[in-house]
Amino acid sequence: MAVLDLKGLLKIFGTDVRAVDEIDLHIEHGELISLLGPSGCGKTTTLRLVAGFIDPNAGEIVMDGEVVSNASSVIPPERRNMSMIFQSYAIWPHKTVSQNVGYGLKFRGITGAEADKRVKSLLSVVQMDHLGARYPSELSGGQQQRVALARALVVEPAVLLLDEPLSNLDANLREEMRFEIRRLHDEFNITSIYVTHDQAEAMVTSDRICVMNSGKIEQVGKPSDIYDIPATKFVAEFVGVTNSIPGKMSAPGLFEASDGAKFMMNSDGGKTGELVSIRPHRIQVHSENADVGGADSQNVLDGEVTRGYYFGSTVDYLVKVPGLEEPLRVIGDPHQFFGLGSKVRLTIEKAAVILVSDS
Amino acid sequence: MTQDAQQLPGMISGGEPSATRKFDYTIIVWVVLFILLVILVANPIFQLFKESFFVSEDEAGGFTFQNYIDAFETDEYYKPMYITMMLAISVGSISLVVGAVMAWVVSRTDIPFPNLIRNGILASFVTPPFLGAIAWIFLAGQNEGWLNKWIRGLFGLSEEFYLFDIFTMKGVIFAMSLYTFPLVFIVVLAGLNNISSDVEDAANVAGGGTFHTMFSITLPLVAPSLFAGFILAALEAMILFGIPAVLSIPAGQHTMTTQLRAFMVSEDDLLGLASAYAMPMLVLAIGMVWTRGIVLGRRGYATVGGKGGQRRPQKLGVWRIPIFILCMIPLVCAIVLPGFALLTTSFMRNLGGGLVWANFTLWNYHFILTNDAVRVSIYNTILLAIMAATGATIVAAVSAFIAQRKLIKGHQYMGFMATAPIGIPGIVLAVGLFAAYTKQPFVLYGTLWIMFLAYLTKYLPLAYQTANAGLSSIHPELEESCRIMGANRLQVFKDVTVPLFKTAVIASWILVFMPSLRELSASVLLWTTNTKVISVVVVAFYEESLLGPISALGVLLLLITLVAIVAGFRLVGRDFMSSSG
Repeated sequence: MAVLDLKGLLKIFGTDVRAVDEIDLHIEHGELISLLGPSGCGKTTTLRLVAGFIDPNAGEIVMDGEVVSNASSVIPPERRNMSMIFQSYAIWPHKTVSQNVGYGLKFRGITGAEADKRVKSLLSVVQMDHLGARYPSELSGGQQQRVALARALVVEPAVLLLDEPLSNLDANLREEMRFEIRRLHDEFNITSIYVTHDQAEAMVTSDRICVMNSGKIEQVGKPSDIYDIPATKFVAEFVGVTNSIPGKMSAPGLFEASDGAKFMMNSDGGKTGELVSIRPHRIQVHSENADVGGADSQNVLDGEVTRGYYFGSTVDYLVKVPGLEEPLRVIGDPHQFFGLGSKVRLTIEKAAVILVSDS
Repeated sequence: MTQDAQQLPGMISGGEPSATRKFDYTIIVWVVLFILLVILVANPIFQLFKESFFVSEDEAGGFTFQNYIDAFETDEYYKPMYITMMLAISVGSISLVVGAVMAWVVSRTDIPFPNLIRNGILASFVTPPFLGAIAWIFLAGQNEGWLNKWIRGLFGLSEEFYLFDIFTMKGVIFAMSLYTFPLVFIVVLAGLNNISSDVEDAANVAGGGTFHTMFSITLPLVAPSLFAGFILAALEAMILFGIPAVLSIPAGQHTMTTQLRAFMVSEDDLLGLASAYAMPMLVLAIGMVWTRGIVLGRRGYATVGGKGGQRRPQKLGVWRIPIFILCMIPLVCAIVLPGFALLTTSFMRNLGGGLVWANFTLWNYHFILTNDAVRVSIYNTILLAIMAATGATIVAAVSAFIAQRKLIKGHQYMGFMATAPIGIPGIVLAVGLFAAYTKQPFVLYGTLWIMFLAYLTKYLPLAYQTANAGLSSIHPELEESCRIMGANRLQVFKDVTVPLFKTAVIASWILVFMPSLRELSASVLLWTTNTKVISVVVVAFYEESLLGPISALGVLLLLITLVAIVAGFRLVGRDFMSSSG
């Protein structure tokens, strides 16, 4: 069980590549936090710094009040009582499933019958108890993933690190394993860091999400906060689809787009920003001149459909609105379909208009 | 669970800062490797250069171009160069055609017994060429050759008639091609296996027949491999010593390698002349290896599409059996006939006596097993092969490990260093080693050590490529997962790295051991009375016309090689012969 603190953590590759650029992050005991970002954003480097595989150039990693990594001293991975799930699963091909799972126990003084018991119990947790004698080459990708999970959990680590654990699985299995990982976390309650570039994976599995870009943390928060109240344009666009509208605050609670359209929004709490983000599904589509009521409590805009794709459960529109440079992307109700060129009226709640900064 | 975690022995405990800044062993590793490289490559080549600019008898005489002038202006010395080039081009071309066609047949068609052909080619690959050449004397000598006798008997022709004469340039080309075409086969087969069968299927779908597809689609795609195969075969023909020593000297014609040896064993000290004479071989050989690297380095072209799906063999139809028979001809000539000739000769009292019971004897075996010189040579051969295999494998495994795991600064140059000797012909290397280690302060000449150095240098690139290929298949995460589970570096090495790397190490060991058993071109310049090896004794016996004992010795050598191969298959699996790049 552990509380982790990353303080001013810096890792420079070569002479000037700041892979992890002075990040600060606090991770609570028993929390599952995911590091989400595009490839090259520094999330895997951060994970490997926590594991002790690489040394930081500056800053420190503190585990339960004790410095485990800083620029001058790094406790090696084997003495951190952590476990890690690797992208390639890293199941040892020359050991059976049971040998793989039981390997870490001998370093913790657990041998013999007690070790066997723990291996068996973990294998049954991941529903692999009948395959203990198999070699990894005889297992499917999903089964290897389960072995990796059992191997990581059997030692009851203080911290569990997961490095894109599902990226080698096919789509169906990936979805299933997301829930499996969350289930195991709820069962064992181990402080976990989960690295992924898949926002859906991060949403499903995490207590909090830490969005990273270019070595820096863009935003940390609950999945719903990250999605509903993105802090930056990067977060808004990386996590889900959005309409980013550039402009400026012209009065308190009023945002004016560069091309003139105006958006009312809830109190911005003194935030500053150069854009607003509006999620496509937060925009309602109505027929032309429909009585939508309450023009002072919501934004009402008229426009023309320039594209409409029918998806069965939704319709994906582009609506050209006067006063906006780019057409608005809108996810509409399929029961009322508006064809190409239809005049439509759009309504947007104040709360759906989120001020974000450009960087 | 908190309690559990606190009890774990490996846990971070206490407040003492752990000193994990390890000692930087970069410098030591580099110094060791640098010294090794200097001893193995730089010093011999430097001495070779140096000697080539001095007239040997008179070092005080100082710098001179006289050696080069002598080497390139004297007709007697110039002609072997011409002959060698002619041999290289002829053998390269013949090997290219034979090797490429057989590779295509094995990889793409419904030929019967493809594994028989494949294994037969591997067998000719490991047969010592000088033994093959000697066996072909028994088979195709002008008067006594069994094939000539058989044809005379068949048609009742006179004693003067002969169809085959191995002691001609054609004979030399024939014998060389038998043992160099496998090089083309291996390279082209690898190239063919890298071409997705989809592109060929697409050609078939578009209406191209079997042969049309081969010429218009497969052939252009595999062109880099064909070129590389030709280069390899031509290079091998250029640097072979055994076959010319056996066949072309009696035909009155030196090649560059035999001429080099003639300089080195001359009564006069001709080291300077030999060094100058070795230069064109060295430059050509390195140039050829370099060209081959560039051609094969264009990966986007050479490894088109990777292995794609199920391969559908092309139908040969009525040509199936004729092509199979055609494919068997080189194999029969390279292994079946020579093996038969050597085996039977080794039990013959009188070489002309024929296969009759009265002509049976064990004397040849008795001779080689009781002759002191032979017994020493067998001992030396096996000892040297073990030493070379062990030494090369250790150096290769360590440098490959450092390179792949990026353990020290400059790890990316490790591969270059370990493969630096690639392309240096054995005999040129031997001249260099002779020049470097016959004088103070390093007198190694006359010991097994100088031969060990020669073997080590010659086979290090092969060992490195094998070790490197094996190691690159071990994902670093396999080791990291072991670390994070609680194992320190040493335990990781013991529990994961060694078990997974073992196969490649054994393969590398055997791949060096086998050619070391039959190494001739370097040994023939470096041996002394106490450091003879089997191949050198064979050549010496040949010069004394002791053909019976040669056959017995040859059979023995083939048996040892066979044991090594069987051990290799057992320990490593079927693919170990092709595991190097």
